[in-house]
Amino acid sequence: MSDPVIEIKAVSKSFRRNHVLREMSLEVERGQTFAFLGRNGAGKTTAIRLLLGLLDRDEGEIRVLGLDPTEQPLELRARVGYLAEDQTMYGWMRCAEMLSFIAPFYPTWDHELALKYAREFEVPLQTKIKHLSKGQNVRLGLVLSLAHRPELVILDDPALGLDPIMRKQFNRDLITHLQGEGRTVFYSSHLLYEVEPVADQVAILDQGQVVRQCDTEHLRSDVKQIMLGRDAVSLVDQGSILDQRPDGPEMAIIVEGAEAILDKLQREGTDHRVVDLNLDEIFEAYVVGQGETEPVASTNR
Amino acid sequence: MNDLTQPIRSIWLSLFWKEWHEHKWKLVSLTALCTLGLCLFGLSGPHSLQQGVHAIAHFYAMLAGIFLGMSTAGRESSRNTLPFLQSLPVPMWQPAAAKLLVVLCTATLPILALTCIYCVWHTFYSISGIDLSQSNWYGPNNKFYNWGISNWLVATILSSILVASSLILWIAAAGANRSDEIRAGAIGFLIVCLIWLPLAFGLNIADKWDLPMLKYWVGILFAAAPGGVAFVGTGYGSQGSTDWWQNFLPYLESAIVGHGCVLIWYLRHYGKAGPGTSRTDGKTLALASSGYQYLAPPMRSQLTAIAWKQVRETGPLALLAIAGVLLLTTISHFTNDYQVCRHNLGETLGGITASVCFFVTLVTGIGVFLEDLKPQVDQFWRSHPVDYRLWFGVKFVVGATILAVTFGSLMLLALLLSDRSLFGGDPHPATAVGFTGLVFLLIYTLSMATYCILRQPLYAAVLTFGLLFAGIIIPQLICHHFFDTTLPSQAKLPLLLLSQVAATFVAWKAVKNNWQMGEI
Repeated sequence: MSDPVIEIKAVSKSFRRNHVLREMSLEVERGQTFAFLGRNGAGKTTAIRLLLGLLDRDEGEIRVLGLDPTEQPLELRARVGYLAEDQTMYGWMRCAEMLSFIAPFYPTWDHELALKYAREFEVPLQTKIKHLSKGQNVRLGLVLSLAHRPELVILDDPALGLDPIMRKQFNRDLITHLQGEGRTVFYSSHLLYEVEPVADQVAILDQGQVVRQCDTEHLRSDVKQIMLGRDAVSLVDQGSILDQRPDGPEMAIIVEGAEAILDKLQREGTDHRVVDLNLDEIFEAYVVGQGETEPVASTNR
Repeated sequence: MNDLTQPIRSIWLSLFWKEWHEHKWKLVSLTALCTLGLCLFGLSGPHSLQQGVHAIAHFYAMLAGIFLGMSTAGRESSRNTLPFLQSLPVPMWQPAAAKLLVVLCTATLPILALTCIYCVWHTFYSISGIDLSQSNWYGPNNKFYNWGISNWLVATILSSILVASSLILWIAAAGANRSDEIRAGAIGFLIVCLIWLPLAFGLNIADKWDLPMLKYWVGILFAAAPGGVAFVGTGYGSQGSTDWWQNFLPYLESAIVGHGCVLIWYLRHYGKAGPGTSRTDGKTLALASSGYQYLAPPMRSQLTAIAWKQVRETGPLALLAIAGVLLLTTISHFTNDYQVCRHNLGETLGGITASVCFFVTLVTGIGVFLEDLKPQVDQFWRSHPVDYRLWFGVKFVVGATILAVTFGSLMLLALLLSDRSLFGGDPHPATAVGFTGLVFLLIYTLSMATYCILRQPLYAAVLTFGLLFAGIIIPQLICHHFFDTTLPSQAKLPLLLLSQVAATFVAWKAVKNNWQMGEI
């Protein structure tokens, strides 16, 4: 039975003439780790701000944990843990002061858990925030966003600015930890290789629209690169082609709905080769490919 | 310059272009403030013009000196643009010098504009047959009478420019690399007071024990102190003797050498790692390995948490204000000619408390939401389940309470010292105290509201001054022109309360509407 934690239906948001989100739709099920992918400026942060009620939508409907973020922002934020990209906090506070300060705002705050996380993440509690390194700052932000045992954790490119080793540790340890606790994680990023091992579902945002949302495994099997003769390209439905480029005497096309297309090519007896793609290549095909794609609703395709 | 299809040809042009774009609206707003002030004086009658130029030029010099100085020192850090500036392949003294030059121009041009407007007005009245030299202010009793009107104007303008420039340089040097404008201004102000204090003592000792050589040398040192150069010039300018230049030269040399040293210090230190800019260092690492054992219990309520935060943010400024008032009172008490006694000390303390209270109230009002409304921090606190109404209300009340306690204590001390003579002439001293308190509350709220709207400390200060000018003078003018009377005293309190409600409402709306989020 469907138990969506996040429901976004045909949401649009503009800043003056700049249309950041255009009828965007997606759904996140409880307990999933959801990778929200898009290039810089695609609208990921705006979508997250809408989810938290930090911005008002122009059109559409949003429900997070069954609440409308615009109508009940405080109730919602009390149940959500949020870590922004490049989060800035009050530099004059010590880490311990920050934890004590934030605690009363959350009815479910667990100070023992905060201390446990602070020890695990090696947050120097007696150090002023302005003296923290980038990594320590991110880890303090994590403690703040997890110590009230949130039902939903929203991470907006949190590992941005960390060195590669720390990024790997962050993804492996933290996401695995959260998955182990059964929390829903909404993870926004533009680096696919990082989310590939941990994400249950993927949504690709491009120019303010979700161009694809589905299970990670399904996406890998559904999107393939096919090498075939130039004349044979006409056999493939143009709407399924995400990207195409000449490769010697052949054409390399990246398609979605690969199974059906391969069946058809087999039936027609056309020579072809299939190349598996990783998420990076699939993402690239969706956002910079030279095919034509339509935005999708919040259904798995 | 806006169409940058071609690269700028030199480093200096590039730096000046940047600074000009950052300061052009400051220049416009400061010029508008001076012009508005002069126009309001002018509307009171042609003979008020000269008094207006004198008052505005000197008041503006102090205002511009302090606010442009703190902006020069702390703006890049506050906007988090200092690392970018540091990453440019030029020595840091070049951006620092470009910034200082543009700021000095920004401070100077409004004074020159003021002069031009006065000259036009003066010429207009001369053509109309009104002799401004017959004004009461510019009469034989005035110490500038013997100067002639042109020389008076030059002296007024020159001294204002020198005071503004000197204060800018000193405060920019003293507050360089602080994390924001308010901290830079507070540190700068304290250092200025600390420099004045020994000089004031020196003058007092020289006067008391009749030591002309000591007085001479302290005077020389005073020329190098913040703003001191203008006072020295004024004092010697009125002598009119033939060896004027000979007497004046040592003071000029002292001023040049002193300010030159401060300039060198500023250029060498601006943009260098200062307080609060270091990242993980040895101390941090040591703490990281040993300091994460203890965690204080959580705060009891949201109200306590927000109040604690506000006390931590406003408290240091209040303590600094107390130190500043006591220092200035000491300086003033020992440099004045009057008899040194408890009563006079109380009178001096009361006067200085009122003056400092005005500036500190303004700065505190701006500072209440200074950090909260910085783009990234704004997102941080709003993304937690924080009720902005509680956030606004507690911060507003706690900030006002700290100010009331700080300056209330100082005024009480002044009253006790002066044997309750501060409001002795008023038939209702309690009403006078209450009304004064409301005026300061309005200044606090107004500066908070202007900052919340503009989110730029300097513009907020200028707009607050403009609104205060307009709020004081326009009702008087309306009464004068339409009803041929002065503003009745019964109308003052309702007007004050109405302004208070309006300013609070505007501030509340500006905090509620988080416009920064709209920027992507």
